[in-house]
Amino acid sequence: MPLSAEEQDRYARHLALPEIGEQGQERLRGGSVLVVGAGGLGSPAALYLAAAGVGTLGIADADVVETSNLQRQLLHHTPDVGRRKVKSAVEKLRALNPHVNVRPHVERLSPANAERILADYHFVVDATDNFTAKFLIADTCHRVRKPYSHAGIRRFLGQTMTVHPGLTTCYRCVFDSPPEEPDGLRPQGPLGAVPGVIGAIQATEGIKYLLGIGTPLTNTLLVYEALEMTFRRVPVQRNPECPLCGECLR
Amino acid sequence: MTLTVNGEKTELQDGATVAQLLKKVNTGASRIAVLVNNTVVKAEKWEAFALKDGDHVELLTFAGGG
Repeated sequence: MPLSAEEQDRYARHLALPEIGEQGQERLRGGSVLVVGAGGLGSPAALYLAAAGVGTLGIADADVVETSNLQRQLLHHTPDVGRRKVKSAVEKLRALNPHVNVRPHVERLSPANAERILADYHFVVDATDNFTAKFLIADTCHRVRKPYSHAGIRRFLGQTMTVHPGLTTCYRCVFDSPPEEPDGLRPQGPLGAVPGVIGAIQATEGIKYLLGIGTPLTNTLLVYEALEMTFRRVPVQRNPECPLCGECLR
Repeated sequence: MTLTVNGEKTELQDGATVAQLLKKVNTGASRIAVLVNNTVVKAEKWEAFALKDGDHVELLTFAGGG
């Protein structure tokens, strides 16, 4: 289906790029991305994915907006405190781009529902805020061979890597299992703009994947240290002893 | 011996182990993953794993937030 006049206007900056053009925009429209977590990473990721015109955008989160979220979770505004994050997110995303089919998933990802929720999407953005969820996403995406963007934030540090399960380095190749005592009880940061940067990178990777352009951030952990303002690409190769994907190498 | 640690040149006594390197750089608070020449070295091996001149070491923080 050709782009409407409004879409031609809306996506003019994409259409002007030889790497995208009208054909690319139609591909984006046919694509689907699930963002797990509507918080610090999920806000920029979902906003950029919606703005870009990804056809179907799933948002999964079971939490309610809290005042301390407003320091960095740009999908949510002051009047949203107390509301379900997914409801707040869906409203803003639909207002930003009514062409996007924004699908709410008001649930916490668990081993019981993860495969079902991920199934309908081409690409998954891990925008979660805890190790349990990150490892669950890595494990489930491996099982069903679903490409995903991993990310983790701590204080002034952001990390991200794209994974094509069964083909490229996975999360467990590097970080084999959740730490026993993650940082104690008091949250340490983060500086709000740090997940802002990383979430935008995750959206970029999702868009590149749907378009089939550029080089994916695979077999590489991008490490962003905001205090020194350094970005390092750390090569990380597939681990034959990886508890998750090592068998694919042997 | 001279190693590269997180992209920076670092001096260490010959035959120093991963555990000794960690003590020197004092990564302290949080759990990390250690890669030597692109290969993960599991925590139980840190006391015994001897580093060599020219090794590339990456110390990667477990970051679970978002």
